[in-house]
Amino acid sequence: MSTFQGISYIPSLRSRGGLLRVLDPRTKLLAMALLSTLIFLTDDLLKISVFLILLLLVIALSKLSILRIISSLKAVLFLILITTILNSFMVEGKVIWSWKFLTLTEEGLRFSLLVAIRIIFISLFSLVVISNIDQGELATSLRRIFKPLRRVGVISDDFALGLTIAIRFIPVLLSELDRIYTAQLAKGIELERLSFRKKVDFWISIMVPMIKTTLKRAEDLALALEMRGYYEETRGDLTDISFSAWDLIAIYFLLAFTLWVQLG
Amino acid sequence: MRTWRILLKNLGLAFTDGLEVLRDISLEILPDNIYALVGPNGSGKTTFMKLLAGILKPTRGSIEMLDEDEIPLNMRREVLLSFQNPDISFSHLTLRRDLMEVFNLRGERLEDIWARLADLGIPPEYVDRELDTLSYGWRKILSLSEYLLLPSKLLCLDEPTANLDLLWSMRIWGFLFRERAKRVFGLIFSTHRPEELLIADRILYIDRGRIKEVSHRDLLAINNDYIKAMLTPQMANILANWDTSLAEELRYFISEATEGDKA
Repeated sequence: MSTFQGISYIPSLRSRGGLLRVLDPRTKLLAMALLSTLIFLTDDLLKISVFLILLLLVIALSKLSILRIISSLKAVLFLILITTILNSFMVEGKVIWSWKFLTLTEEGLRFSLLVAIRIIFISLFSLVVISNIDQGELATSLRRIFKPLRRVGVISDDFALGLTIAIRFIPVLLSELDRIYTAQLAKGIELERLSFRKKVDFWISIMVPMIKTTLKRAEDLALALEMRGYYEETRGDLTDISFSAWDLIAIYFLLAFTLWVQLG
Repeated sequence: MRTWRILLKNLGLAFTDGLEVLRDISLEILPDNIYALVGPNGSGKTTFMKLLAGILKPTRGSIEMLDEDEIPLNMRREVLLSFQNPDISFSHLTLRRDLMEVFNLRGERLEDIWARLADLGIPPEYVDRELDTLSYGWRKILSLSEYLLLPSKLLCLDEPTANLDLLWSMRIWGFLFRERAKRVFGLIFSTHRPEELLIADRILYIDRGRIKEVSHRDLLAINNDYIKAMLTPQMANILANWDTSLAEELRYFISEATEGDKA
């Protein structure tokens, strides 16, 4: 339907429930941040495969459709390809194949495979986590997570609100992009036949109306907040969140897992 | 003289999620008629126009534009589609830069464009003025002027007078009709305004994805709440007595009344 739908996986992929729903969103965000960091701290293929098993488990628990998950990988495919190709040729070691200045090494292959797995893990894991947190929950958890920053003078509410708005507006901006893109094509521009240079011109020309409408939208949003009497001191939360026994179990598990990856 | 025609045969369009937006459409579209496309919100008017402009491809049936020798024409180039909001169609801050960009991307030469722009009645000082400083009505006219300058055979206008007052709507139509009196180009517009049906030669009535070409009188017999809401007793009376000469008279009147009108 929409040209840019492939990218907009955040709102279009809504989990239909499942076991991950019982966890507090803060636990899920913690798991996402922790595991995404940890996977970069180990080179051990055995440990990496445990990460993958964990990922499959989480996907199974989230009740997301496998097809949609795979199609959302399309967005990062380019990144994976580029890093894999670059890494395979850039790491020194035992040479397998070489041609002029290009040398493929065993270590390079191993390293690029590791990087590809890490990118896939991070994108899929965060996809599953994000699609299991609804917007209200996300706003509340960000506010609570940033609360301690108040002590050092950072207005945590504004920060959390900004982040929530940014995430909320991804789909809005994508549909705006789609409208502008179509409006430009409708002037009889045949994008597929353009030379590379003209294609670049075309995309730049889309950015002007895009930036203009985005600024307009930001202004409207600020006005709407003002009109509804938004003040950070007095605001409450639409959604309440609280830790349960499940969260404790999950956190203990994460702790044990971290120790095993780092020390085991 | 008939220079081209568009043939639609059993055309249908379903989105990837299985939603069938258009179905079983068989029509012939000719350059000498002005068509009004009417139907409720979400009935598929814009989608139909996107199909004509070649932006969407049908999932069923066929659509082709043939010239007088029955040779297929490239609809992506020959059919232009203008959306309601003029602001999303401008890719630059001034009309001059925007026109230069579009001609560059279409691989066409600008030649006497600036003279033709003046012929259309666009004040020369507006060509380099920042578009944001102009009124909505003028931005709409400037946007439409681009479509008139681009070489094409059929113009699809998606609610060209939406959000405009009656006077500005007349100015828009006058602007289009004066150009059409000089050279014939196909025109299809969608509308929710009953009075705009009177300036069209034929009516394309769309309901739940099916499009039928009907006459003005046929509309009176359609048993549909959307159409009924459009037809006040006076309007029904005018439509019952509508004929081509009324449309021509109205178009002439609007062209004359708004000529040289600098707003």
